[in-house]
Amino acid sequence: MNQLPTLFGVINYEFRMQFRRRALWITFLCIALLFLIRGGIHFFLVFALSQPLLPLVANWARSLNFLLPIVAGVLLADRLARDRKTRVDELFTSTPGALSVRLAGKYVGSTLATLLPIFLFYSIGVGSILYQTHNVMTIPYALAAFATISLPGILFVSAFSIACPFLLWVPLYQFLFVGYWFWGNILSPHNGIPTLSATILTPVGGYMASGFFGDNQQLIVNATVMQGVESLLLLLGISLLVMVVLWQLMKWEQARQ
Amino acid sequence: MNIEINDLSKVYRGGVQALNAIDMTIPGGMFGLLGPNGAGKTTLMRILASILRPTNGSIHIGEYDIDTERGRTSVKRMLGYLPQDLGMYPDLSAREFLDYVGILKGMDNRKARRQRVEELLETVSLTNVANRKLKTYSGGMKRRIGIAQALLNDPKLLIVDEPTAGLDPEERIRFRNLLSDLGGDRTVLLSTHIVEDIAQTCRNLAIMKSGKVVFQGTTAELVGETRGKVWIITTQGIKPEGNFTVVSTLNMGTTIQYRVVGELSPRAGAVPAEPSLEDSYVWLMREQRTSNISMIS
Amino acid sequence: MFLDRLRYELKLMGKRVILTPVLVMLGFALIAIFLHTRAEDPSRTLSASLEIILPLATGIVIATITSHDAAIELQLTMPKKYDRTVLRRLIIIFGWTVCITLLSSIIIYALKFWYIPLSSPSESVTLQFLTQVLTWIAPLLWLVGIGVCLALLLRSRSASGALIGGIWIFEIIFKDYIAATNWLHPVFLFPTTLLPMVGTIPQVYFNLWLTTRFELLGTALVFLLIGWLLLRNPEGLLKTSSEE
Repeated sequence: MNQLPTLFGVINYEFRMQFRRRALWITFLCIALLFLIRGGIHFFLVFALSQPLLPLVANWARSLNFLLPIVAGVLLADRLARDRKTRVDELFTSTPGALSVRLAGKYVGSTLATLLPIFLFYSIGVGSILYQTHNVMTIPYALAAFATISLPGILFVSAFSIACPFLLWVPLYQFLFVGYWFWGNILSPHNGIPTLSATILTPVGGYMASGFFGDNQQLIVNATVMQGVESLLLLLGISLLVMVVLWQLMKWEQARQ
Repeated sequence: MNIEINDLSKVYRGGVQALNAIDMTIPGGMFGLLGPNGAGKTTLMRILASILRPTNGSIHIGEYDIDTERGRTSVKRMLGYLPQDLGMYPDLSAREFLDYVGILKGMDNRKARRQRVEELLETVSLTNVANRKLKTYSGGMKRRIGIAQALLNDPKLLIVDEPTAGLDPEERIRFRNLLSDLGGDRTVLLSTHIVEDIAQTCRNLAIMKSGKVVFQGTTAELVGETRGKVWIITTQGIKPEGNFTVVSTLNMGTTIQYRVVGELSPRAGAVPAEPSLEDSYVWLMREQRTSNISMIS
Repeated sequence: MFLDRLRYELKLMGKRVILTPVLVMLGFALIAIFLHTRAEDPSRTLSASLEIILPLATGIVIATITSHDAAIELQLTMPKKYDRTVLRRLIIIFGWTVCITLLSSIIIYALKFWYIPLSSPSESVTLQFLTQVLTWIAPLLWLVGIGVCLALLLRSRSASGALIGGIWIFEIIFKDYIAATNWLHPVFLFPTTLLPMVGTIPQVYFNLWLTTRFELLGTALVFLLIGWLLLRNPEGLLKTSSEE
């Protein structure tokens, strides 16, 4: 059976269901408000006159990556549990659509929907940069920065957020995830506690920002392009691995029943 | 205990009118509430159970005015409520859940409360599995626990919404008999799609549609209005055509028997039949649709 | 009956609610031991566990418990009011967390790892203890309050968890900005560990610290009041999170 239509169908509907969640938009709106309290986009663009365009755009993408993925991760944590709660998992298991396809569709669809408000917010900042600098190259740079700095981190976070609640109580995962985000991205390595901050495993995208775009206003400075590539591939690879492990776990659980 | 409902309306946020100027008197005993989905039955029951507040109108349950806080609390003390979508705490056992609900209902005497719990577990035949967690229960078992919790405080007012959903025929009959026994000196408001449940237990009923009451009276009165409008048509297999509604189809092997509801004799050979409550309901809904169409045109 | 009720409320909330603060403190105890073996001072880390981590965990648990009740329709028909039932649950969770935190504080004091601001080096133990309690009880109550509010306003466990997480990270990343902005002081959650404010500090800073703790307690009480008002709206409570 050709599973491609099933895949696209699942992506379509998982996207719509996540997109229609009031909670998604209200949450990001509140986070946007927090940014405004902090001084808004202006605060981040105070460098506009002092930095070249490329690292400036990368800086904006990386700055958003400190806060917005945490919201995305928590909002995605209940997607799998929801299938069990609403009892559609039993119904879907009886359909010819393969589990791997449904899982892939859920991952891609719900992540894309969650990316939308993040991209919108990002675009507002990009618009502001464009307005300040009057440089049309802002747009292709911004798209490249989003694709290489923001996207891998979000995909990484999404994979864990969809997979881990299969084994953990959702609120417990949310708490551990928020704690991990602080430990793995914000906690300085000079604090005495071992941390993933400033390593190639950090999903904030520091290595890509420094290696590809020359953004050195951060913990990671003067990274090479190769390090950026390593970090990007590692994040994407781990995301894929997590989804494959989830798929196998779900298959094993189904076989047990 | 009578329930007097006067000019009751309920409009939800967003402008959805669930109830539209309802006047109703619910006498003591068994009272059936019928109607299609979206008729407003659940909204009415929730208002009577003091979960929702009406937008307009008044309700007196016995001596209590549920427009006052005191009235609502007094009603809740004598209320047994079984909602259509009964939520339970999955990690409690049946015994624990009933005991907990008993505490919430104000049954403070532990010994009396636990005794009552045991009695009801016996009544709904769940004593043997009472220590199992509710998450392991089947749908029918959960329904029976729902019935048991509604009866905990020996309520004077019992509101049950689709109580026999998920029960097998024997359980349904047992529950009907239980309700009928209870109906004597208290008010039992039974909302269901299973017309037979009302036919077997209720003398009085109301039928709702689109937030209004389209019939209130006795089951005998409703059935009486349908006399002469129910027919049996037997064909070789072709579905009969005409101005009527097919209520049931029975395959007899070489022929097919259609039970239809319509104003006039649909054709030669149609045999008049004694109407049931289900026929009467179908007839009433048909009449409602016809009068709506003529109003629009 | 009180004990019966307590037992059932605990059972339906689940063991996870009881285990959460215990496991958090055990985890940080291990981290502290690890730091100590590396000759690093674990005081600030232990302060973080009480002031920053435990309130986050409690806030998320509270939001989860408050946003969804499996038997809400039944609860609303009971003579025992639902707002009091929820309040009871909040007191259980908050009270248990306070007990664990107090116990942890005593152990931390005994091991001489206290991390608190002092207005003078000769402050009495009682005053020191009260100061220590203020460092964590203010953010704890605040995150509990906002957890309740968000859960009832959004009727979504995920959204309230996401916002609590977002606010938490925001407070950490922008601590300096919040400290420098007067109108944000009533919501300054973690000054003790983050700024940091430890040991004998000038009286003016100590007073500022103390004021922000009391302001935080005040805003927490406002959130709890809003939450209580939201609990008295049965129609709002009945709206399921079906969109979830």
